Order: sequence, then C-alpha cells, then structure tokens
Amino acid sequence: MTGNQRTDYDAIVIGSGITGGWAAKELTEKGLRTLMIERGRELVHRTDYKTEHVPTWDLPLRNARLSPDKQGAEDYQVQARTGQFRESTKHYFAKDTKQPYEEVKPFTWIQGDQVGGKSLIWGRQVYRWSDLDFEANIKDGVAVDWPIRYKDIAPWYSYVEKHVGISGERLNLPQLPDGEFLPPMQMNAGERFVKAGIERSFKGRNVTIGRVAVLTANHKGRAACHYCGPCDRGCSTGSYFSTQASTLPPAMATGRLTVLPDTLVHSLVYDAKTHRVSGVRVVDAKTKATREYNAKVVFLCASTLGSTRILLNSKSPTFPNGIANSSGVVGHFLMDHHFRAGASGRLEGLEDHYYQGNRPNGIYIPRFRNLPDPSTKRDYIRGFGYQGAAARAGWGRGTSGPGFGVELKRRLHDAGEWTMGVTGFGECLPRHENFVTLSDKADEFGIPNLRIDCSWGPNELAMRKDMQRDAIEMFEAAGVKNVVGNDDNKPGGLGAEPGLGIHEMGTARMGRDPRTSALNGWCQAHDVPNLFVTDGSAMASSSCVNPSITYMALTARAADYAVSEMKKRNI
Amino acid sequence: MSDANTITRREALARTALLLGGALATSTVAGAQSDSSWLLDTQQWRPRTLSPTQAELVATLAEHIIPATDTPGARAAGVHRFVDAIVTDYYSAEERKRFLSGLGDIDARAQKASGTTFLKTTPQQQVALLTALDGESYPPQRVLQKAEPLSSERQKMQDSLARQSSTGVTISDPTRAAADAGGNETARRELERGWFFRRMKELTLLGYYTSEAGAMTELKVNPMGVYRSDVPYRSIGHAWA
Repeated sequence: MTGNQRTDYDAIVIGSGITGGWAAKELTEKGLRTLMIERGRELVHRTDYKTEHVPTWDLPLRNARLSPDKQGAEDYQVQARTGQFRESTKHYFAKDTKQPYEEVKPFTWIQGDQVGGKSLIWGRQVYRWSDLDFEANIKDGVAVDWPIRYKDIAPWYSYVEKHVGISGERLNLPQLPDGEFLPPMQMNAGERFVKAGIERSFKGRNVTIGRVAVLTANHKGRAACHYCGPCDRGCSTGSYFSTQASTLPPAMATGRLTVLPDTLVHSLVYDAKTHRVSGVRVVDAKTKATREYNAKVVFLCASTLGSTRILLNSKSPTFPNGIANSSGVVGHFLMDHHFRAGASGRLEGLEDHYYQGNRPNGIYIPRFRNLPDPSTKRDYIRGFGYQGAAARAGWGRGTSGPGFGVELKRRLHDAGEWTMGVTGFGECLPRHENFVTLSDKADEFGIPNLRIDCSWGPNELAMRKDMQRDAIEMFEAAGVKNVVGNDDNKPGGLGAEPGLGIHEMGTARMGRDPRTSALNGWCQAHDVPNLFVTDGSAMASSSCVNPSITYMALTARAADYAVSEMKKRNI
Repeated sequence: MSDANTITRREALARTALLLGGALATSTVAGAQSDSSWLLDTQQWRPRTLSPTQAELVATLAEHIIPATDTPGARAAGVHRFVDAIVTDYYSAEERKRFLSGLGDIDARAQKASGTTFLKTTPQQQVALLTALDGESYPPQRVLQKAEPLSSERQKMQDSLARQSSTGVTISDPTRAAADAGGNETARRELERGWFFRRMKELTLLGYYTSEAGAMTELKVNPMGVYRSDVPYRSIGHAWA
C-alpha cells in the first residue's frame, strides 16, 4: 500500500486469520469502513497456492518433511518441529529468524505469516463447546468463571457454522452439542470395525466421523471437496474454510474493506482523556517506516500470542504494564491442548476392504471422562477426546525388513495390513505460572520479543495416563491386535510440548470481574471500551475440543455487540 | 532454548513413522501438471554431488532393489537423480559424507569378494553381494524394538493422525533413533552396521514410488473426485501410491 491512502477508519482489525477474517466480514457488512492490518505478505486465493495439486514427482524433494536438522529448515528451527512443515507447505510458515521468541521451557510457537494467517493450514476440526466447559471453572474452583454460558454463544455457533459449512454427524450428546451440519463424511471399513467394537463394549462412548470445516456439498458458492487430500497446500475450490475462501470475499464485496499486508503493529495508542484506543502504530515490514492509523473501534485478532504481545507492548502512563491490563492477567494463564498420547494396533479380517479418494478427516471419540455421571469421575479434572483414523499400509512398509528385487516389488504392489490409531486431545488448566512477558530483546522492527514460560501441570500429566490407558483398553476390547500405547511427552524436552497442539489460548482472558480478567463477556476490554480481543487470548479455560469455531462465534458475537454499542454511542 | 538430542530423536522417529506407515500415500492429482520430460533424458542430466560413477552405482543398486518388470524399474524412474537431489539439497554435511562413504564400502566389499569394483562384477555377483547386505542390515525385531521404543503402528499414527494432514514422505533413520534412545549398545551397533543399505533401500522405494513411473504405472495415485469409504479390494487390486 502506498503512503497516500487514508488513515482514518471506522474500524481496524489487526490480523487476517480465522478471527481477523470474521471480524472484517462482520464489521464491513454492518457498514463500517474497515482497515485490516496483516504483518505477513499478500496471498491471493488460487493464484498463490503454488503447490496445490502438484504431483509428488514434481517436487524436487518429493514433499520431504523439513525437520530442524535438514537443509531447507535453517530459518525455521521452531516451525520445523511440526509435521505439517514440508516442502509443499513451507511458504505458509513464518521464519523463526524473523520472529524470534525466548523459550524458557520447551514451547513450540507455530506462526503463519501471510494474509489468511493459519486459516490456510489449520486442522479444520470443528466442535462446539458445551456448558460442561463454560461451567467448569466455577464448579472446579479453578481460575475465574466464564462470563458466558452455552445459551449465549449457541446462536452464534449456528450463525458462523451456516456460513463456514461443516460436515458432521449429529449425536445428541450434552458434552458435544450438535451443530448446523452438512452431510457427514464416511468411515472406512477399519474405522467401522473399531467403532462397532468400542460402542459394543463401552456404554456411553461414541466413535463418530470428525466434524470438519470441509464441504461435503456445494455451499454458498464454494464447491464440495474433491478429495485431493492435502488441504494445507491451499484449495482453489474453497472447499475448506479459510479467510481467502470464506470471509474475505464477502468483506471485499461490501467495498468497505482495505487490506494492508506487510505491516506490523507495534502498539495501540491510548487516549487517557477519552479512555479509548485512538490509533494503531504500525511498522512497514519492507521499509520499516512507521505510521499511525485511527479508528473508532479496534479488533485485535492477531493470534493469541501475537495479540498478547501487542497488548503488553502498548504502554502508557495509565497502563504501564500494557493496555487493558489493569488486572495484571494479560500474558498469564497460557494454555494449549496436550496430545500425542493414545494407542494403535492392527486390524484383521478386512483384507477385501479398501477405500478410494483422500478424505481430509478422521474419526472422533467425544469426551467420556468426568461427565456428570459419577461413574465417569477420575483422579484428575476435565477430560479429553480422541482423534484418529484407520488405513492400509502402503509401500513404505517395504523399508521395515529385508527383501529386494522382483519379490519386493510384487509384494509392495498390494496394499498392506490395516492399522488403526488414535491420539487424545486433552484439556489444559489455566495456571498463572504459565505466562508470557516481553523480553528485553527486540526484533528487527524494534518490537520486544516474547518470552514464553509454560509447561504441563500435574492435572495434564495425570490425564495423559488415562489418554493412553483408555485407548489401549478400548482397542483391545474392540478386537484390535498388537495394541501398543504411546505417550510422547518428555518433561523438559520436545515430543508433546505445549504449543505443538497449535491451540494456544488464554492470555487475555474473559471474566466477570475487571480485577481478575482483561475482557468482559463480549470480548471487550474492561479498561478500554472500544478495544475487542476475539482470538484465543480471550479464553478462560481450554475445553478439550478444537477451539477455532468458538473463536469464530465469539468474534461474530463481539462484532455485533460492538456495532450496537457504537449505534448507541457507548463506543 | 535448545534440546538438540530430543529434537533429533523425535524427528528421527517421526521420519521412521512416515516411511513405515501406509497412510503416507501421496494423494496428489493424477496426471495434473505432470512433467515426465526429465525421466529418461539422461543426456541432459549431470549429478551435482555424486560423481558419474557414483551415480551409475546408485542407479545399479536401485535397479536391483526395484527392477524393471512389466513396469519400469528404479533406473527408468530416475531414482539416481532423486538420490543426488536428496544428498545435495536435503542431507546435512555429516549425512552426505556418511552416504558417500557407504557407496565406497560397496566397492570395497566387491573388491574383497570379486577383486573388482561393484559395477564391474557380474549381475550374479552383484545380487549375491546385495543378498548378503540385505541379510545383515535388518536385525531381528526384538533388537529393533530395543533401539526404537516406538512401534511402527504408533509412529504411523503420530504423523498421519495427529494433525489429520495427509501427505508427505520422509526418510527414516533408525540408527540415529537407536543412538538417541541412548540405551542398548548392541542394538546400536547392529543398526550402525546396516545403515547404508537400509538408507539406500529407503531412498529407492521413496524415489521410485513417488516418481511418475512408480506412482502412475506400477501403482496408481489415489484419485481425487469422490471419496468411497469402502470398496472391495479386488476391484482395485493394488496399493495406492
């Protein structure tokens, strides 16, 4: 963008990922002239999905996993810790050398760095929270009570789901409310076998197909999934939810949105006379020129840790510890889901079954621990769900034992045995001692780096034992052979460290009391009425289900509230 | 903060996972943007790290591992080119050195057995040498299990399921896994011994089955379009690439 564009807007949205896109869509559709600021580069739908549908043989390294010890990962030593970081997806990740942070204990901060943010590479699993989640803190006496309940957010779940397009199966479970579903994807023969075995052996446990933001039918001008497989290379048919496919087009169609890529937010400007944010200080990522933009309302949607960094760096005489932080909670209560504990094994008797097409989805086993039923109570609080899949082994099995020549080639021509695996995704408690602060070192733009100090606590570690044990028990009961449990967590090391779940949240939490929370139930800063924070930082607890749809619902709800407050001249 | 050993072990295991797993199928688009011009065009191609003789040795070894039958073999699929690319653009300096040294060992064994370099021995002598190497490179499962605390099923699950992300191929390194696992010295030595041949076989399978010949002629890429959750295996009759 050039220097002669306007600097006054009705609204500024910081970030263009899952929540930034939603904020831009809602605010522009409600009539606000909106500026969306993105630190990463422009990324054009379709045009810039440069590896989409490229056959493996046209990728020089055949889509190798770029791990930290390999060439190609030099600038990405943290990003390369996730298995998603590959030759085909590398261009959707931020360079760690550009955006460094201090890691007091192992914490993997995965960052998208483009218009669309991580909406391009997210896991697409979509599950509603329930009152089991919203009431958990008050019932357990942990942290602070959520200022909202399921009834407050339910209509907003429906609102965003109808736009996003979510395929899934209705289950009528209180702990996992049904949503507005397109037809579910189908389980393969291996998954059906395991489902039957588990549901036969354990009353109250369900195995269902993943609820996923991938279209199983044409929906609002976006085509149904064509089952090519690797969503995270980008999708020209817009068959999974991303900013580019889903929220940017309607926002642009209003004619009220300006997108400003390659622009970092340094801090928010606070006007002590009006008690409002008056502007946003930015740095041009290319020229390092600084500038200020002004708006009546600011939506901070820069990802949990990105938003927290901006809040902490927005210091003023009124807010010496960062804007909207009179409570001192900003940066604290960092959470992520803990995973990579579960089980796997072989399936027999399904040799004449196979599948065709690449289903970008797996199965889901909803939470069955610590429900209202007393028989589900355990020696820890909260719970976990499982995600997993069954598949037949391919040619890769040829590397695991002896053999070569014609015999090996003939053997690998056939599909191998069926295997099934699941990994738990467990709730993480909000704890004050898991926190981020500003480092005394700054990045090349003069913005202080984050210093992240986070580790799993006793409740997570106790839960992980069940995540492994229950998976083994269910598999064995279901007739899975050679069942092996696993837990990748290595205290003080990498394997299942916080951050790797890429569900980081909680560092500017909602609450009822301004003394113990940063935001009210509308994601509005208690201290600064025209500042809304609607990404994962707003979360007061973590549930065990994937959070993105909840962020979307909270964002749409916050935008609706903000505009109504503006109309009433309260903002 | 650095925790190099742990990273290494984790990554090594994840890599093993991918190779051993069946779900790593490529799932790319059948035929889309295919470019086979490089496949057989040997006159244009020059190796970047391998010498011409080493490239010929790699092509010969690979062809023994996946020979031409009624479908193309590793040489026609250009596995030697893929190996040169991996060694040049992917391996660390240490790994590259180790791989090249492994190629040298092949000739040393051929010298010892037949008094000449591998390429100059007869095909029968080559097969005999590779049969011996293959036999000594895969220790019994119990040794491997000591070295690699993760089972293949488990590893497979990790990568293919944890993120529901579907594609990709990588290269395992059980030797390093064993070394990092810290434990069993016997297992470590066993695995050291067969490192080169295991690696060569992995690169061959990877290079072959992700090539156009391997993925489209020998096998078939799982096609896009629809998802059919349960089809009779005999109606397909082969693994998806």
